Amino acid sequence: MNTITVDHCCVRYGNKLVVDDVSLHASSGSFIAVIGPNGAGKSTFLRALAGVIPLASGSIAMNGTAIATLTPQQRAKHIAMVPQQTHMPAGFTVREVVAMARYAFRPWYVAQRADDEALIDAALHDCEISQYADADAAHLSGGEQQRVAVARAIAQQANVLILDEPTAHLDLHHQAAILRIARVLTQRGVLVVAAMHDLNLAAAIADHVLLLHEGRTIAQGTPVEVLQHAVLERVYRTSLLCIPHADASIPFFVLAHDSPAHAAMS
Amino acid sequence: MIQRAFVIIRYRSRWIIVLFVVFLAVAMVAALSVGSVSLPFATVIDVLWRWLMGMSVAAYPQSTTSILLDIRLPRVLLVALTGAALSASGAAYQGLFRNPLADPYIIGVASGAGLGAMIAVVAGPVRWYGTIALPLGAFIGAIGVVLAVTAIARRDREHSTQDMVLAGVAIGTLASALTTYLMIRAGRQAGQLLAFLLGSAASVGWESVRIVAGSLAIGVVCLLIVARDLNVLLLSEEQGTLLGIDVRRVRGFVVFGATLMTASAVAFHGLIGFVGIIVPHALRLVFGGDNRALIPYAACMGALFLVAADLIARTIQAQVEIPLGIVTACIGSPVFLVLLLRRSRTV
Repeated sequence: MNTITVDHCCVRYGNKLVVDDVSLHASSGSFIAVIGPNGAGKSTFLRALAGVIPLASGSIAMNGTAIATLTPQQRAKHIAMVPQQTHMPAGFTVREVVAMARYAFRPWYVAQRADDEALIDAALHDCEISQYADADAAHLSGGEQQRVAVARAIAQQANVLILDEPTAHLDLHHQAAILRIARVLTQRGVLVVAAMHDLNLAAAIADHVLLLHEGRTIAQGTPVEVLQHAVLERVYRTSLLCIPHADASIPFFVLAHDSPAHAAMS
Repeated sequence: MIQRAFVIIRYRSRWIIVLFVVFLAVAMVAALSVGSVSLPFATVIDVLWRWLMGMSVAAYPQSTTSILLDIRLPRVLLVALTGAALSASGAAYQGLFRNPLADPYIIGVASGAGLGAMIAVVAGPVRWYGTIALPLGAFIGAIGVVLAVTAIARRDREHSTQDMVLAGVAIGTLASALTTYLMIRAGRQAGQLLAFLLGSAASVGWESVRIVAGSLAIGVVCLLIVARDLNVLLLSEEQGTLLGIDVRRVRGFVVFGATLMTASAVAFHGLIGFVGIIVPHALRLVFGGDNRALIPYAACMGALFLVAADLIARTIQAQVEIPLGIVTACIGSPVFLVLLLRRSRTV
């Protein structure tokens, strides 16, 4: 059982406190959705969780070990992250980009082994990009590149998978596919932490939801506990309707008729 | 169609290095046989073979062996080593800075090395400490520029690649201006220094070859150690860290290795533009971006390119030797544009 413990974590950019006193405890096999409006500090929180930006105060520990004390190589074996913006370098095939996930596991003078190749093949298959394996990754569409980045993170075989808006560039089919993969990974014992904008997707998939606003925790708990109509209207500063969902155990939100966005459309 | 051909070539690319070496050997023999005194290919090959095997070359006139082994061979080797150094360091800088324009010339490293070498000549270290002061001066100048450019580029990570090129151009221009000023002050030495700046290999000896070969060997080993990790840095530094790469280690190896190679090449061969940008770029278009293959290919192809350019420089106009930098620019610019346009059509 792997656990990750975030204890009163604060992150600053210059003088600005971007993440302010956020705490979280999660264990393997669960899906944590981090939600909140733009600028809430979701991406910064995830980057701090991945250990790529320093904390101003507080601590983040994995199985009791502070992640700040791990080398990048040790960290890569435990934590994988798909960033919000994916960049594919020109001149590399999709397979070569996904294979980068295995670099941390072998010294520079050792070639990839058969088990690495098998993991790469499985990741390509899971993300439905096997047919592009020999294509130049830089020539793929935004959605396809997003799936390449997810495949690379899966091939890393980490205990914690961090996804920063994993469905941002994807159509409905591939949104469902990526979230299905994330769910399968949680069943295999991986802890998935994902920043999400779609409240309904978050409600449908997450075991635990962390709602951030201006860097602070507004609420956290099960989707039903956190996705409260009044709280969401206040945080997102817009009118919402909570309508009955076929699965009565989860809330479902749409923009209300009097919301500014709705008025602009009509 | 062209892309399909590229894919096929790419998967056979392990054998390409053998082809490069064969072509390089042929070009070097051609370069050794051509000159004010023409030597037959068979003579060149036989003398070289005997010399390499430690056998006597007394069967040939001393003038022939002297021209070949004391004058032309060090020159051709120095040209090949310079091409290899500039091209391999160009490939590495482009990977490190994630910018296809980042060759030693554009980012100002070559100009910094030129200034360092010029100061070593004009201010006295070369007179006091001998030839070794030349690459040391060049290395100090080059490393100063690369550290300044990196520091400026890292101030604003969002625009770091553009800032790096702009800072490189600005610092390189300043270094070139100071070099020109020193040259003007040099008086009667000015002509000789100008030829050095434009990349002339007219007078070289075995000591220069040994120093450049040593720097190239150290530099290429440094680059090959981090070539795989350099692939990951092409995604971004943050992604590199997430995938387990020690970014500071990679940066240190590349800056040291590539700058050492550039400095020694510039110290003994002057400033030669375009080699470090065209050769890696052309190879990347054909063989892909994996630095584990790209860096050794760039070294071989850079050597071949510069030996061919030197051959042209020595033969295109009777009695006059055109500086190499002029030939590389005249060949390099159109080739570069053709490759760029072809890529635009196939994307």
